[in-house]
Amino acid sequence: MNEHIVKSYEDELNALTAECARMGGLTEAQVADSLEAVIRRDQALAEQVVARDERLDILQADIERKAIRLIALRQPMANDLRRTVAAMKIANNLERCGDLAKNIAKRTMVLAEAEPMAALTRSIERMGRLVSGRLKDVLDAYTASNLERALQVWSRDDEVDEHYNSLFRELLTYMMGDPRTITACAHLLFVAKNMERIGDHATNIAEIIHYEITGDEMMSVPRPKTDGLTV
Amino acid sequence: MTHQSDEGPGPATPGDAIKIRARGINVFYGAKQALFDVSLDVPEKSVTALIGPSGCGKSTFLRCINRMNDTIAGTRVEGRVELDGEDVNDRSIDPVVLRARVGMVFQKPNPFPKTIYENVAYGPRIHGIATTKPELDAIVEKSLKRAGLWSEVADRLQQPGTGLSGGQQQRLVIARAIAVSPEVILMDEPCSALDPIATARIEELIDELRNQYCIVIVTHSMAQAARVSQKTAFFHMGKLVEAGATGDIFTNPRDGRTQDYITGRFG
Repeated sequence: MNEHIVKSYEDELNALTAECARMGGLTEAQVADSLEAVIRRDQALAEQVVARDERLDILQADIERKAIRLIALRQPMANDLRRTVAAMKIANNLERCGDLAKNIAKRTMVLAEAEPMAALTRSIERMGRLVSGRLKDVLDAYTASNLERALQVWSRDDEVDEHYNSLFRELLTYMMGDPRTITACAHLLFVAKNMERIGDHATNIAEIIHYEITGDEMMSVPRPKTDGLTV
Repeated sequence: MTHQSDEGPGPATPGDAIKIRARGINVFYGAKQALFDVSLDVPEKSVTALIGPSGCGKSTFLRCINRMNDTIAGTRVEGRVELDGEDVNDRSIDPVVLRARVGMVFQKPNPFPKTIYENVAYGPRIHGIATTKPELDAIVEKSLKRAGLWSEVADRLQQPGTGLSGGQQQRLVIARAIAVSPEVILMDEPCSALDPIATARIEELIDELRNQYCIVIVTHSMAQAARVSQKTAFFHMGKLVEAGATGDIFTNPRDGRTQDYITGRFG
């Protein structure tokens, strides 16, 4: 890619992408820490996650401001336009991921006071690792402008759904077996749902990367749901 | 997908009739070749923008459509330009009649040194479109109204056209062009000498006129091409690099040269 004739324009675009990548790194850490907190029943870590969420909100607002300013002052075209719009959309998705991580952290504070459930925690951990990995992969793909890597994330969305469905069934079994676990299981169900949504945001980001790089929209083929229990 | 490859003109916008069909156009100014094998379809009742750096051949191509290149000594044009299937370079075609069918608006407004009324009435009179005073009056009023100038000049039709502001003069010239009921209007940088408000008026006028005419506009302003046209063709060093739906060209050009040009990069 050739450089812009106007250097300050080039600098502004680069700064926008860099800030978005930085926000991605922070989001990754938030998601990983919220997962760690729920697995280790670590209240202190959960509190940190909740407290740090504001930084993501500030970054998202800043990226949006910069992108709008760039559109107004530079009138970006073609790949520059796609890059600007992509940064704005990715920042939105990351901000949502941050909120979901914060919500997981809040539930951790309640869960830490209930009886530990080892088997369930292991299922949550497996699903969490998968989702964290997808988020990391898609953000690496963004930083490296690697289309293939983004597409890999996109095509593997089923795995998260399968984990979620199996966790859902597992939780139902627990709740039916012992009503005293219902409170904790309900929270864990939300934790699982939040992680599933983080996975969806990773898929969205993969689609945005596809648009940024190729200029073509990715027609997301509706994936068949594998379980009649979920919608 | 309405993008075309380098080999062929490709489809215009789907479903649109083709008004101008250019095939294999080469233009030489003396020994210097200005256009290389350009083929392009221009759809009817729409605006086609020609963009590209200075000296890329876009104005040369524009002038092939109404044979304005004939007026430059030492110019040779090869290839076919068809207007409704008819070769404009055919011996049977009278360039004067052709230029009434294919009107032209230039960068600098060039009203005749006559009254506002005469500027518009001159064409219809010499082409025999109108002979009586009431007929001419009607054409003058209709043309000035279509050009969005009537309300500003209705009470001073007998004043010189050159006394109008730049933007008004440009609309007067457009009124003059449409007074002879052309089929095509060619515009070569029609707004480059105008302020943003006058530019907006002309752009609004172009948008209005495209319901009735086939318009081809040469512009250096990417934003203007994006705003007013439905099809965009990018020229570079005498060659047509890429042509396609305007929305596609400005969000997702296929050729690296188009991309570099519209995004302001070193080519």
